[in-house]
Amino acid sequence: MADADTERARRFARSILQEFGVSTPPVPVDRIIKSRKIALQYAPLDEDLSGMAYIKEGVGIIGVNALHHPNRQRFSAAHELGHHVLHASEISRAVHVDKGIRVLFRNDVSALGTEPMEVEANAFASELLIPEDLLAAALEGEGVDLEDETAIEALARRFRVSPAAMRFRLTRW
Amino acid sequence: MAGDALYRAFGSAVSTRRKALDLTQADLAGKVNMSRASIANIESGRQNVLLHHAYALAAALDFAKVSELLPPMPQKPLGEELKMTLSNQTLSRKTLSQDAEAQVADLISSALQPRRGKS
Repeated sequence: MADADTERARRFARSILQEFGVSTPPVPVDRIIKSRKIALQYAPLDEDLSGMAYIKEGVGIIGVNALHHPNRQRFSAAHELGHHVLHASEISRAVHVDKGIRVLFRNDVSALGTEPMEVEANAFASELLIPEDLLAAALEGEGVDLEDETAIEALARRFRVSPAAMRFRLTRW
Repeated sequence: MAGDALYRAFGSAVSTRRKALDLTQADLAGKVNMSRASIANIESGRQNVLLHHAYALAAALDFAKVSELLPPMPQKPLGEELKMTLSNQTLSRKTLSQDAEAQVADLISSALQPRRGKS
């Protein structure tokens, strides 16, 4: 299996943001998905499933587990959009179902080269929801202490992501 | 979906969402004016749910629509077996449960349905 190309994934996310003209957080991930004519469905799913991506006869579908925290749903939606943008041929062949629990810990796996699609979709989602330039603007040239829970939570709220997703993004700053 | 299974699915949806929002059963009970025991019974599928309770629960759980708490209507089958791949298979070596497969198939069917009367 090929290595994950996270730089390509981030590049795609940045060009979508530019095309959509996003200049302040939170990034409207639902509207971005709908503008690409992908059917976006929220439905109650088993707790450990975060979402799915599928292309059937040219119709794109994204499903998100409606039971998860709204901020986690935004990450799942962005992650599934990543599969549509980066892995269209794979998700045309079979329904791709995402187990969400390990969503932020997959980088360890990427070192082994086992789940490159997931690593790429996470890099895409991370860049889409927390774009580098908007994050830089939010930090106002200052750093942020990774141990400072309050600061991380405030930053996460502005971008409407979970503190865990924000921490993940900041460690790849 | 048979009656019992419907209440179990509803209850597990309430419980999952409640935990995602970091609420205790007592917190939720307070928001909807029910006893904690009722919430516990609903979550385990042992108590039938009145319609106004379903609305109150959906609102308290921060849903825009009650339907986000309800299992989907059984759809017409897609006419073929769906091939599914699961992320992290190499890690977990698990496959989808039959319930989860049915949820995903229903979701795809409703996504593919022609939009009717949607705003």
